[in-house]
Amino acid sequence: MTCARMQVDSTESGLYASSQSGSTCLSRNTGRNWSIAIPHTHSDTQIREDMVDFLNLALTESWRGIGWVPLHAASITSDKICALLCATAGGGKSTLTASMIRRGWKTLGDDKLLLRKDEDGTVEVAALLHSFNLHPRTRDWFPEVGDLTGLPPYSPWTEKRRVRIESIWPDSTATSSRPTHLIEVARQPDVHGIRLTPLPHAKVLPLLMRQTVIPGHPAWASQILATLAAAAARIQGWRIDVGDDAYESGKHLAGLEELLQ
Amino acid sequence: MSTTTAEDHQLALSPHVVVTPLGEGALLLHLDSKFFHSINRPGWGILQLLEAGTTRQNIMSNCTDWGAGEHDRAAIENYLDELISNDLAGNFDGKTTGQQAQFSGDWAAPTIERHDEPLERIVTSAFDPSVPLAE
Repeated sequence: MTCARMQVDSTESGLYASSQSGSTCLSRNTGRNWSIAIPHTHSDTQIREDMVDFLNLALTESWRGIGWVPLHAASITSDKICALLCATAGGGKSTLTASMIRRGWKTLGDDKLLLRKDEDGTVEVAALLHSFNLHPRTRDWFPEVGDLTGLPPYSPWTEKRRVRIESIWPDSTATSSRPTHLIEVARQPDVHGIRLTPLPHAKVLPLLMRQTVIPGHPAWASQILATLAAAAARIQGWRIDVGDDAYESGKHLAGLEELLQ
Repeated sequence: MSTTTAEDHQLALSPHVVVTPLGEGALLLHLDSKFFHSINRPGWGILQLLEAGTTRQNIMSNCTDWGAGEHDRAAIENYLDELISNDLAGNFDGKTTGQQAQFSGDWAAPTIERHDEPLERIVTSAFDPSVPLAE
């Protein structure tokens, strides 16, 4: 598999990852042991970047090994409803999630979730991190967020800051649920409020597939695809176009809430 | 001296492909190209035969049992050719397992639809396969 900063190959002993900067990572005993080697010449920044990539790889493999599929999505949940929100990075998942929390919904997270097919064929979605990555501008809509500019950006690539969800909205997190809806979120400045459009059922699985990485190993790929297909069979798909004024008034979100409930 | 025809050539699903049922049909993902395809119910029936390795002759025979007529032959051939041209199936010289396909309901011509956009081939994180390389 070719990743942005490293190449991951399958070897006889396990996975072998090599970064562009010369660091390597090798798994043994079907992912139970990992060895990381980093050149002496590395700067702290390079070490940090390589370590993050390698730890992500080790964790991802371990989760897959026990049946969990990492999913790039946010979620909102209430009683027996759980909607997975999908968008590209910066596409508005966190803001929509925060806006629904303010209406009494809970969340499993705004970016990273785990999905698993249980023995009875049902699908469970679990929280991984109860933190939000929020842009300081979020305060314009939600004053309780406060001034985030004093916090460091959580990566060199974004203005967003990482904050603990409960520190802003107490009692707003959940740990697991059963997904019932999949919502594709898109910013649309020309839309007034929000616009909801049903997604054809045939589009649900492809949309889910784009929220995770399906490796080239057929056994892993089959397991992941089966988990996603089991989820797709049980959920309704919707697209939500979010206008610039969507969060100025709570009334725009009432339609989404009505649809989900 | 025996002769073999295209009808006798064994075909099988490509080892680079994974399949999952989807609705009445199925979805195929090519693990190298990352393109994925949707197939309808008769297409899924035929694909189950290919999973075990089979011949065009056997596929035609099964399709006839499922309700296909002589006028469906071209559609079935086109479907197989489409699978082969997209590297989803190919020639096979192993031993077939004789696996039976599950098919019920009315017959229709098998169809395959390739989704326009493949999955990302270069990824940064299992949690965000859409982040571009430029990051």
